Amino acid sequence: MADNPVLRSIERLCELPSDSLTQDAVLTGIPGWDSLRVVEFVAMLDSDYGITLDFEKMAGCTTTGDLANLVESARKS
Amino acid sequence: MIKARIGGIAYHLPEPVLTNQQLSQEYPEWSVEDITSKTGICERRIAAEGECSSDLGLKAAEKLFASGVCSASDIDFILLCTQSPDYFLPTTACVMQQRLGVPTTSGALDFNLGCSGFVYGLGLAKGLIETGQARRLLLITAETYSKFVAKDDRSTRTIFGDGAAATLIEAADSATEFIAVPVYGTDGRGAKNLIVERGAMRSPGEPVLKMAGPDIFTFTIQRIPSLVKDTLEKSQLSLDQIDLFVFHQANRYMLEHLRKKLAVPQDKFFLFLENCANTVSSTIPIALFEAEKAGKLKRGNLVMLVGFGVGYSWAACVVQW
Repeated sequence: MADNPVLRSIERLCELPSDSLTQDAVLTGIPGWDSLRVVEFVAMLDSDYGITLDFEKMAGCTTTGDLANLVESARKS
Repeated sequence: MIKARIGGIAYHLPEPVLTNQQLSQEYPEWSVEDITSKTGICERRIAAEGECSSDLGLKAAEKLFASGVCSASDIDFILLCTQSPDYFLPTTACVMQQRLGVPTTSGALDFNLGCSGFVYGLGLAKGLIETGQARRLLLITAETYSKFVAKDDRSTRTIFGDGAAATLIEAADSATEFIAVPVYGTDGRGAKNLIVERGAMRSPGEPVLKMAGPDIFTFTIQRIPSLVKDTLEKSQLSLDQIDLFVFHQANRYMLEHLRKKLAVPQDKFFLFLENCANTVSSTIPIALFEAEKAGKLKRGNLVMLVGFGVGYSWAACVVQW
């Protein structure tokens, strides 16, 4: 999933090497993925895609893949 | 025609300082640069042990009186906005009346709001003055959130600082609408996202502030753009007719995002939190005081005030300076 923009955004925000995250990476285990990075992620979604996520649904995401799917469904709706 | 107008502002911060260097030593995973660049805050003031909201509010009011705009004996109403009162009861505003030497013929009450509190206070003051219930009203905003902040909570320790502001709102015989009717809003679904759950009646225990930062950020980017639009419509103004925007000084990252989203020019968007942090209901009056001092706010200017946060609660209005 090298072309997954959500994964690439998380890597960029957490200053991780490009293509280092996979869809099954557990969000809470990603180095640097703290409340500050989550805020930056929310800001990025608003600026780049004009979307805001339902926060309870976002909190329910376990993996980067879950989050990518949530973003994708918000973009389509 | 009697119209309410802002007659003067003063503020006071407690002396003890908590710097980013001190925080970074405690939380090594957050560098000084990271804290400064994201929050826009370099240091915050923390009330000393035993130093309460009324102590900070008292000093702010004394500075206001010392500035010559009015004296304690002129005041006929005190509105005090705080979420960290000295006592459950009595009303802190009643304690303030006696400590300040305001006449016993004055009205006095507290109201419990956070970051929207100053704009709500202006709206309440406008109502009291323009219906003839008061002529010289003292609006005090005072908080000591630090007393709710857990030492190991880096998010809230980084953002919040203690402080108080005192604002004189007085009657003027004029046709000018100096304080426009605010636009208000409330959504209690956000209550759990910035809360001190314990210490009151529902859940006795040690009061500790809990904040869900990303949820609050999402709330602001969803709500504030429409609040600004509604406020402009209510005042029949366009964005470019506003001379200065003073938002609740939550943190620089959030404010910059909102500024860009609203397309407000940088030179019309006033920021002041570097050395005092987020003082909750006092951020707007502190910023107004500093904007005037810096020459960014002059008599006759139109300034939009936007308060938002805990509750969730929000309010905005246009003030002619």
